Amino acid sequence: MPRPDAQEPESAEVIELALEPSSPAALVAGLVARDPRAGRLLCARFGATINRLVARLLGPDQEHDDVVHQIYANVLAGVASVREPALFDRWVTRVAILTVRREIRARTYRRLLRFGVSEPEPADEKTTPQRMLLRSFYAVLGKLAADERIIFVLHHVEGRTLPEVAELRGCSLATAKRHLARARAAFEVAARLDPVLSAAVEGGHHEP
Amino acid sequence: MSPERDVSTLLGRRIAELTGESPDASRLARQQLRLDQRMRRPAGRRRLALALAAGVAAGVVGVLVLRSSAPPALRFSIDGGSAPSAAPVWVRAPAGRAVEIAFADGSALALEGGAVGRVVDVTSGSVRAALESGRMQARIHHRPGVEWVVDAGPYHVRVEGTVFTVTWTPASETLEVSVAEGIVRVDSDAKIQAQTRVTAGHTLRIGGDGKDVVLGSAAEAPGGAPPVAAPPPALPTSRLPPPHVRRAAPPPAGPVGGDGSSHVRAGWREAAARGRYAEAHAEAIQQGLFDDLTRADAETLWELATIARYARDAKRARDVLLRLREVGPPSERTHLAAFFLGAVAADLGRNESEAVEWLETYLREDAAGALREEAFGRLMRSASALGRPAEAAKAAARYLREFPRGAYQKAAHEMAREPYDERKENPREP
Repeated sequence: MPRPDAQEPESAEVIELALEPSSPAALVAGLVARDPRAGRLLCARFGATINRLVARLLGPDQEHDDVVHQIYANVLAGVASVREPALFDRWVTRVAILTVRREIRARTYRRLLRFGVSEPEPADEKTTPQRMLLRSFYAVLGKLAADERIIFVLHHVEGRTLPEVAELRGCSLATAKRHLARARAAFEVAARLDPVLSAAVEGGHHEP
Repeated sequence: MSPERDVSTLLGRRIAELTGESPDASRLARQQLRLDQRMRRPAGRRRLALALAAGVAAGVVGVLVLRSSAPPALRFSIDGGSAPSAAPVWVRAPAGRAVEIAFADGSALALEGGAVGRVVDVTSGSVRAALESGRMQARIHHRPGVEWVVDAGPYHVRVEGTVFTVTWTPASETLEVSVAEGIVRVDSDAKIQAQTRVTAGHTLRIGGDGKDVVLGSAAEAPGGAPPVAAPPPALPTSRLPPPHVRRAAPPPAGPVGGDGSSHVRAGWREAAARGRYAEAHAEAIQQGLFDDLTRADAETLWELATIARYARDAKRARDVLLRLREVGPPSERTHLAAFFLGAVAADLGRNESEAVEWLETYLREDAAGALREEAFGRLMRSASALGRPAEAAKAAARYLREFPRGAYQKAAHEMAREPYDERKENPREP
């Protein structure tokens, strides 16, 4: 039982002086120097974007956090090569997209090597209409090539313009258009054959 | 647009709504923590492979490799914190208690109670700190190519490997620099044009207008500068107990201290808080605090160990640290006690063999300890001093794996080149 007159010694007051948040150059320099505060700033500034991109490109995924971490790791590995800090935002987005692309391709190869043995479904996932819709949507997307899938999601889910999509994917506008056309054609055929997706489309058409 | 052509857009928008814009805060926090841990880890094999590949290439690539292999900035921690801090950082010591900024090379800046300072910038070639107000004790382990500067108001104290105290009073714009060991140079932005060298045993006092410059012996300093305790220059042993340890401190009438009156106890604690370790040590001995350590709680033991180390009292420091490891469950403090037992054995007891054992214990017990780099450095040194090159090479190899760009990398590389025969370390069973 502490004595009523006991006074606990104060702890030191330590304030980490923030890096200049409005300066991409400071953030890049901090990451190159492996300054932990720069890492926190990276998370604060890009965490939402990276998570959203991963969620939309991969769908509900047990390895979501691992993929996000891999994106951060790739950002750290390549940040020293950033020559124009002003374009750092776009560079990070491109790294995120490339990392997810690599993941999609790796999964495709793994699936091929398993000779069609499907990956187990998450056991604890409760079935809701939203989850069924997501599962069906990404099951259809899973049949597309990695580039087609990415361009489709960036355009139709992320709502980015085609020139923007082409720049982020690092291809010409014509190539982006070609991939998108192929993806749309394949997706729409498969979506109409899927009961959940076709129901969602019907319901969507009847929304006011 | 026909409904048929809207399927992609329609479903895309629906999926965008379902996936949302941002994950929950706890997920983001977990990801941030993971990234934080990664950033604190040394670069792995991949970077090494890339560096080697780049090293083969000529021209620009070679330059990049050289740049990437530049020595890293010196790491430091504040007030016994287990995680390294990063500059710039602002620190205020609470009233009545010193706060230490400990650097990986063994240098330390201690802000006395109530003082305010900043670590302005730390690079591979320089460390710049600033004293905003109050008194700061500095113990700098000078290495070639690393410049240390302490700014106080318009003045700059440039360090050449030394133990000194800086006092800066902003209200009167008064600077006082007392040097216990080595040499410092003092210059200013404008008020004094020439540099002033202050050597060991002397105190420089500069008055408000910058013209009242007095240089005298420490004992006759106009400001009455206190004597500066001089701990071993290469020892990072001035670490004070971490804040959480101090918060757990017992009330003044704890089990130690004789008659239980607070004024008796406050003597040695107050002296320690003001950095007067020799005085605190003498007072603690006088009070018999070292005589029966079984009555002391962990917090008091830690404080006693600190002042004994500062006072270079190897035996008492060792006894207290051993007792500290006995009393509590394994914790950061008991791990640190192992490190300091190693440091005391090597630096004060001249017992390198014991030092090796304790340093190995620390490295084994605290896989993420703030002093791991220092422990490896000491381990290499002690093993070499014992004439055990294989053991030193092994420690160097471990160090380089964990701190490939650490402060001791040069020495570690040299030691790791020593012929290391694993069979000698692990002789076969007959």
